[in-house]
Amino acid sequence: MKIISQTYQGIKLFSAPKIPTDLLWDLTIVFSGLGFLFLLFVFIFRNRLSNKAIKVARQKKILAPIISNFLFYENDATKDESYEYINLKVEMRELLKTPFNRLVLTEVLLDLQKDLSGDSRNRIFQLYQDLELHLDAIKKLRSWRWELVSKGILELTQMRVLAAYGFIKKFINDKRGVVRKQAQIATVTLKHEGISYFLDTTRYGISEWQQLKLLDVLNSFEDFTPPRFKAWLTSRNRDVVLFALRLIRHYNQTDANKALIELLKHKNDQIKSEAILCIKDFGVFEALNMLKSVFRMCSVDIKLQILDVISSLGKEEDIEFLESIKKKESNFLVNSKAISAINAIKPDTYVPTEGIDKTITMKNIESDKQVNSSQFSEAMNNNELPQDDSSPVSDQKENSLSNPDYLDPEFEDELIFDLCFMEELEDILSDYKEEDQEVDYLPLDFLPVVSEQDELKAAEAANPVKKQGVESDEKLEEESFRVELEAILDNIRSHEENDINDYQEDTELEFLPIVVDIDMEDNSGEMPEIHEEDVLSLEVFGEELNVQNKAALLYDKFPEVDLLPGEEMEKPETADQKSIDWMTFKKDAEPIDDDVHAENNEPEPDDYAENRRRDEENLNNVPEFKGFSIFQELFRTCDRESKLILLDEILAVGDEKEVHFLKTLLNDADKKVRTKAEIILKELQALLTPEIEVRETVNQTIINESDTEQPGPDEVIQSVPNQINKISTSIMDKEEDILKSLEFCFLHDFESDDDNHASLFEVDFELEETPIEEIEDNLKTNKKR
Amino acid sequence: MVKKNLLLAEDDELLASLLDYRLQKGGYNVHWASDGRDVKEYLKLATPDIIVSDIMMPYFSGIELIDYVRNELNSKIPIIIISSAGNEENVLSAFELGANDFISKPVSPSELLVRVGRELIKQ
Repeated sequence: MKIISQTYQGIKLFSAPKIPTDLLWDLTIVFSGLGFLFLLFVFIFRNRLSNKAIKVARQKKILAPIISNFLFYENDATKDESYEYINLKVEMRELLKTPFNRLVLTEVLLDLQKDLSGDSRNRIFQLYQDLELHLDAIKKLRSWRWELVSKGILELTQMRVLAAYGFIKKFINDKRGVVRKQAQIATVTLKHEGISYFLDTTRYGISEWQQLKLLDVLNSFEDFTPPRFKAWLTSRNRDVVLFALRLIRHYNQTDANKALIELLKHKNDQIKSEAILCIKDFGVFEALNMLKSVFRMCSVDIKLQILDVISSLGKEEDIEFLESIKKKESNFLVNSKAISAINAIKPDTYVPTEGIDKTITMKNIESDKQVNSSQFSEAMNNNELPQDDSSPVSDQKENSLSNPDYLDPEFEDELIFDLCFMEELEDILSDYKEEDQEVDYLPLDFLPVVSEQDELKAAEAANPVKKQGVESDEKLEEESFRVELEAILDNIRSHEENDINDYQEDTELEFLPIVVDIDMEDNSGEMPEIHEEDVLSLEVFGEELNVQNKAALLYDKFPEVDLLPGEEMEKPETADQKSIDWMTFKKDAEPIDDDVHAENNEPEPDDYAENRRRDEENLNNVPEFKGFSIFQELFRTCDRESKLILLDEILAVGDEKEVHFLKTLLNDADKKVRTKAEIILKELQALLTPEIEVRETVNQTIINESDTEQPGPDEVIQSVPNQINKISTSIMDKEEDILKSLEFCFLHDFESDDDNHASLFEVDFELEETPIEEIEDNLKTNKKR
Repeated sequence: MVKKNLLLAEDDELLASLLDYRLQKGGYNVHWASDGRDVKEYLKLATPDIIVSDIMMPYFSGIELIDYVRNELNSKIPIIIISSAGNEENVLSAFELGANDFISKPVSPSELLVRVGRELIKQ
């Protein structure tokens, strides 16, 4: 209990003090009274202001027509107008006796001068001074209240009271900031020489805003001739120097170069920066040395500005200085600016090094160029050959490449084939070069067989008028093709050190298609007469074997014409037949020409005999051509997975050409590809063994028959193709699906005149991951089949 | 000679009275409207020969006035607009809606008189 009583005693301290109620009532009455008084004052002053506003508005309504009358009164007014004008003048004098009316009139004129322009405005200024309202404003200048002084200066400035200039300019160095600034603007506004007075006398700083306002005033002058502001570059007032520099730059006063150079040594960065800007704008070359001298002592911003000036004004002798900055300067911005300045003076001195893939070299670009050139040749073959030979080749290339639309889908397959062909041809040639083999003959058994004689004849019969145009197009294609090949061969020739005789050079072009076309008819006046049938038969080589007879005749008549070698005059039959050991056929067909000559009793020219002899020698020395695999091209651009899938396809559709190609893959960098290529090679060789055996048997049979029977040339011509036909047909019947290579399909489609060209390169497989074990199982199954 | 009726729509009384005086002196019968509502009321009662209107007005702007005259009244009365400087967007809108001419503040009363005369001659 004792503890509780002590505790409760302690709480007494927090109990409410005793306040006398009378005092509270007194305070309530006092504060209520103050509140009432405040509201009363607000009400009274509000009423006074609104009453004054109403009074002013009413007075303005009274004064407005009077002012209008004064403003628009003209000397040629009528009597009534003049009478009214005089009455209003009297009335105005009476009104102006009261300060309120003077105040209202001043307000009216100040408002009107803002809304009016031209002559009316000038009349307002005149009226203001005529009514001596400016005296009221001048009186305000004597006030001790800064707001009144400021108001007075503003009024005098707006109403253009030049008489007040002397009064206002005294306030330029007033200690009250608002008055001072108002006075500065007024001084500059009222008189053109005000700017000079201001710059001469001002001792206070000039804020950026004030500088802009002053510049705005100067710009508003219509006939203002700015003073030479370089005079103020020596001012002790830092802001005056800065403002003078800006004015120099604004008015392009280029007579202050020495002062500008000197100001580069100024301690103030703003002045230094402004001087640098002037130097850059005016192109003060003599400032470069000073810029370099002060560079080390400057801040980063100024350094950047200096480098900017050097980059625009500098010469090659300044690069050394910039190089030293680049080496010594630790600041990244300055360093980068120095590099950019060097590049500006001497372009491409520094090239980007960061993030550059250094593995990419010009060689890659060269390979791209080769691809482009082959594309270009395609374009040329596709009637894109420019008509004007004088135009640069690069332009033609650009045109052909920049317009991919020229790839007509109709000819897309042909173009792809041409692309493959050109690349393959270059590869073969490069292989030959590496092996230092003499290119006497180019094996071109992979060339497409162009058999259009029937079509040509049909077209000729149907529309003889169009014949010439079609021929010219074809001629263009052939010529472009020839040009491309000749360019390649020229390279080979120049590469070889041994001299090749004229005949050899001619034989190098023997693989070209016969260019003796119908154009010969046009040149009949110059050339020996040729029968049209002969010409047509030569256009399409290898259509019939007996064409050789006519070709030989032509060869005699036109020794300069590059005829195809005898073996290429064979009847193409089918593409498959063509692929079957053409070398064997060539040997058998070779003597036919001689016999033809003998039969026709034509004298064999010495040159011709010599040529034939060399031709035979060359043919015997022809290196074995392993064939062109379409997969080789596909392998170039695909990844590992695709390569593995393609290897499966090789097994499915490949033939001897693929065997050779697979052998090359045994040295592939990719182990997986190498391993799989080895497996596929074995499988493919196993698959192809029966075919090769059959072929060898056939060849042997033919040789035996020719040895035993020794038929005449005509019989050989007739019998050999038939035998080949039989053999090839039997092979195709047996293993058509397996042995038919992609290029055969391609050629076959062309020969059979199948319209479905879109399916030429249809490789019907899907991309999927297959383990090697599964592939091996598949291969075994195929083998068993 | 019959005086042409001119509707002056301007909310600034001083400027309006000055322009009124100058236009009347120039030979026009001027009706002054201090805001958009007055303009609308007047247009319901009468058809002026030409309208001179400020763009910025209380209740009913100059742009709305043009729209009202052109689209609701389907009238081809020439309209000259008065706009303060730096108000190009409104001026463009006014021209798009069918204003005939434009004069910027500060206004020269003599210039306005010439422009009014030219527009009436065009009609």
